[in-house]
Amino acid sequence: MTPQLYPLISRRNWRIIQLTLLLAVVVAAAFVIPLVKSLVVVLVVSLVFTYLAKPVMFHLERMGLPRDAAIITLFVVAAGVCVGAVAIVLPIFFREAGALFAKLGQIDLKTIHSGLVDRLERIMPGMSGMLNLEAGQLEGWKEKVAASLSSHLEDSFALLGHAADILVMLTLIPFLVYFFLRDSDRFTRQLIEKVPNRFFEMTLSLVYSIDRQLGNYIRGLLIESVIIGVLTWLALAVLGVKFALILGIVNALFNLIPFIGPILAYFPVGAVVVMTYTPVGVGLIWMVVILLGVQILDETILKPVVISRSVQIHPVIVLVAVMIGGGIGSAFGMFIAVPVYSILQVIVVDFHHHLKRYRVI
Amino acid sequence: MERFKRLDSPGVEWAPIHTARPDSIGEAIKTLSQTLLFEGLSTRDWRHLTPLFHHRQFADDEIVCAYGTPGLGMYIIVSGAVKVVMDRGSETLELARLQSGDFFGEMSLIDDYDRSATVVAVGETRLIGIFRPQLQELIVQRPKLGVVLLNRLAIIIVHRLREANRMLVEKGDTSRLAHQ
Repeated sequence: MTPQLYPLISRRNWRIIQLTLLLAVVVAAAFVIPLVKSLVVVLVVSLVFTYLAKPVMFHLERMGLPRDAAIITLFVVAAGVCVGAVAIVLPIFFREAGALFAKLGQIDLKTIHSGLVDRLERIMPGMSGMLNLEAGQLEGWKEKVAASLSSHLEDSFALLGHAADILVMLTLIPFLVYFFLRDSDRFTRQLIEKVPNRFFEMTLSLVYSIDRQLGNYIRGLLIESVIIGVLTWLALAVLGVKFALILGIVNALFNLIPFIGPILAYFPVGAVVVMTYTPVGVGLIWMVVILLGVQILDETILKPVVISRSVQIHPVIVLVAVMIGGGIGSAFGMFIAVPVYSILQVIVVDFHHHLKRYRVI
Repeated sequence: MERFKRLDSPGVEWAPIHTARPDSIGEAIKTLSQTLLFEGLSTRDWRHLTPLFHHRQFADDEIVCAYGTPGLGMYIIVSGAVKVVMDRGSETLELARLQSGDFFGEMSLIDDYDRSATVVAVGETRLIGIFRPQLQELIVQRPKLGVVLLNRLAIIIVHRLREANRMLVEKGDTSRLAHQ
């Protein structure tokens, strides 16, 4: 008889391994990741850029360029795009952001409140009493909201706020991307060579499968977000809504969160429309038409075409992931929580699938 | 007194850390270039192919690939031997014994069907593996070389099919013949 090795890990031992791995992930998420947050951000951003650049690098190689020349060409083009973005998009972004913050500072809650009371009194006489507030209460709310907003913004950008961190990131990310692009094949190969014969084919298959799926997912997600952002920006700009670029970016960011994200996007966009667009009612209707239209386009065309195999996540898990992401990385963490969870899910599901197919469990 | 030891002095070994041993690559190319799949390739082709190869060493009686597990690619025997076996109830049938220069598992380069038999090393055996995900990448990146390899794979598989048909005809079992 040939040696019988399957399954290598018994069901009971596999349960113990699963629990240990789960515990390790929880401990890492709770204690280790917050400590090495900057490093994690640098690594994640570098990997995202690597996955984006890889197909272009392969294309240049097919055209006959050696790998180093292909990467340098890519970097030169990327630098050109960055300069273009800085020259064209960033001035619009900062002008809009400055104007938006100035507008937020000018909000007169008392006028809005009295306007609302008048309208309600006209529609439903007697009901306006519900909106009667004590003097100073409105200003208190405004201060609280402003304080909360500024603390969140400080938290979110604390990571980016330090000049040293930015310098390290700007140096490290291109450096890492260069080496990921140049040497990742060789590095992966060297790691695979160390795997015992028993697990060699499984590991090789797993590495390529995860690499392919992550590449497709990250590229798909970025293409989808860019299309959503640009469509929202253009549609709002055509209608004359102010701060259209920022609102496009906001909608694209919220779209990263499935189920609740597209709904939450209505609040910031709606707030800006109420503050800046006249007549407000028409502006709000257009906003709903645009956001709904973009959402329908995303669900019917973009997601099936761009992200061919969408990652199925339960809404409760989305909420939990967003809360944990918010806890670890504030607003930035909230937006990338679901993509990070999806990536982890792809890895775990594929790993489990391979363990079963190769009869390890 | 000599403060620093000369780099080329006896007792100091300087070996490249990240490069594979030239003897193993040269030996592998020599073995591979004698197989139908890789014969007659140019130096440039070999430069693109060698990073795809995985050198594996197996001990005596160690399983190379097992029946029923997904096939991922083919192996070429550089040194040693392997036996292709299959369990039939309580006994094990040895279907074939392959020597240096032989290869097996080439159909797994095309699809991911499960392995149809178990392959076990006979004595210390060195193999070179080439696997489907990397071959697919090569086909995308170097289409000309990819087409050459796929064409040769097709020839090998057709040759095996004809051989199987011939054996069935010899046995008089024409109902199981593959279509010509």
